[in-house]
Amino acid sequence: MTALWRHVTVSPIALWILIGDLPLATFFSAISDFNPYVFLITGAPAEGAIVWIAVTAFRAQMRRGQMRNLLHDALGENGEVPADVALDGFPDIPLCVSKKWLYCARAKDIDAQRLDQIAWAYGESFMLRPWAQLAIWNRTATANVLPLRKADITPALERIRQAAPWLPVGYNTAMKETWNADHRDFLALIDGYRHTGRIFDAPWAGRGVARVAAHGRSNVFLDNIDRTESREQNRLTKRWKDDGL
Amino acid sequence: MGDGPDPAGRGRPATQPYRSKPGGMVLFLFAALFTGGAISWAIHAYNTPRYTSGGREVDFEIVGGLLLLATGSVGMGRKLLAPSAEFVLAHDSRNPVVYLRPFDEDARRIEYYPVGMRKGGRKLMRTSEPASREGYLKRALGQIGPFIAVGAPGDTLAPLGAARLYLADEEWQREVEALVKGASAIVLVPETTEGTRWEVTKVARWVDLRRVLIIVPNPALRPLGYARIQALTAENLPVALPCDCASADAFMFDAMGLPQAISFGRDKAALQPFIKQVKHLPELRA
Repeated sequence: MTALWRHVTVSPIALWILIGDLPLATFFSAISDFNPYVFLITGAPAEGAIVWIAVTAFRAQMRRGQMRNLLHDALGENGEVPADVALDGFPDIPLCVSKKWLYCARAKDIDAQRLDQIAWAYGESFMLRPWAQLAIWNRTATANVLPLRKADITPALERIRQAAPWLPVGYNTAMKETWNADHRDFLALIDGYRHTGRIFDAPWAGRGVARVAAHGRSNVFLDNIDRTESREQNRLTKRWKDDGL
Repeated sequence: MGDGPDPAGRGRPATQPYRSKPGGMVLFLFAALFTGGAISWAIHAYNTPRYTSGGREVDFEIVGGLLLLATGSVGMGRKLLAPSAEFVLAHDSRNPVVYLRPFDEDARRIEYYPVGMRKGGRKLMRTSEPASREGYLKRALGQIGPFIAVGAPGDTLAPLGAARLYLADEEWQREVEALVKGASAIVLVPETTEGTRWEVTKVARWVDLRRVLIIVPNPALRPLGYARIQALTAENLPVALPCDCASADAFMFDAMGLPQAISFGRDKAALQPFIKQVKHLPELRA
């Protein structure tokens, strides 16, 4: 029952379908990926929807158990125990931070990275979409991007902030520009904070969430026609990999 | 010259980009054809009923593709027709405005999101715009003299903006010295690379600072970039740029030799104080 409740609150579409608000359900089905519920709008009985929700909730609960087992294995590999990390909300909040490691729950596995290799973390909220994700960049300019609920962004970032106070956590244009254009200086600044153990408090740094736009079909079309941008991105990424190592 | 010409003078010969007047004209003709095609397709699509939503998307993509091809043809045509610095200097009796920058600056883009490899999550729309202010500077400083820059070795087409002078590694320092000494104004984009550092040092020695416009990373957007350039100028210029500056895109030096911040923004007249100052300075011998 807890799993069912958790699932219903996680999925606003399911909630709205349950209370029988079909216009809203139609709207949310149209804008999100949660397509299985569309069958309700086409005339399937409400009991079917409830069974469907229960099945998906059960599967989600199974997945949670599986991810926790994987996390325990990953902790063991790095010589740590579950007591070293805050497990509340995992894997719905898809990360755990210990003193030396950061564990990210991916779709089917756990990605572990040394905390001192992390360079920047912030939340991304999509424009015109009910999606959110967490971007955790490492020194080699590779980001672990973890989809999560909008409401979970703040606790997830807070968790990182507490475990690594020296790390820039948050987003603003100055941070993005500095990351892109003055990458080496950005890494050197973070190193300075980490080595002295100070809280990252650069006056120009922001604590906001990035407002981003999703990559759509028209972007694929444009990307194929104009390669200038991908060439430039590849050039920068390659250079930063060298800088970060 | 940033990471381009080698200050130690290690042997790259001068290469010239491809220039062709007939080629440029042909591309302009193609651009006109593509634009005409896009317009007629749009009219045809508007007058044809579509029963599937995909049909409209295909129409949109065809029209968009034709317009992009037209834009690309115009851009490439302009590059083929771009005059060389030698041609511009021979046909303009005024002293030039010399643009000294790292070669990376030509390709640098302002990305809308942090750049790097992303693992997992949803893909983001990639959007960016050119970071270089070269076009703006050329239009504004054209009032003083022809806008000249040293071209990056290996350019297949001359970029738009400043007229390019392509030099071999052995001769670039000598040529830049001659250009800088005879320039009515210098636009300097300082960087910590070896070539650009050499340029900063020499400009400080050879040129009246009132003729120098220094383009800096805006401290409001790139505080660390500005701090780096501030430290570089403090080392190499007789007057350092201010450490605390809220926002600036460039600095000029007034009659007292003090740095004055300039913000470009959308203000087309932002460079007028600099232009006025340079025009009031005594004429140099060409």
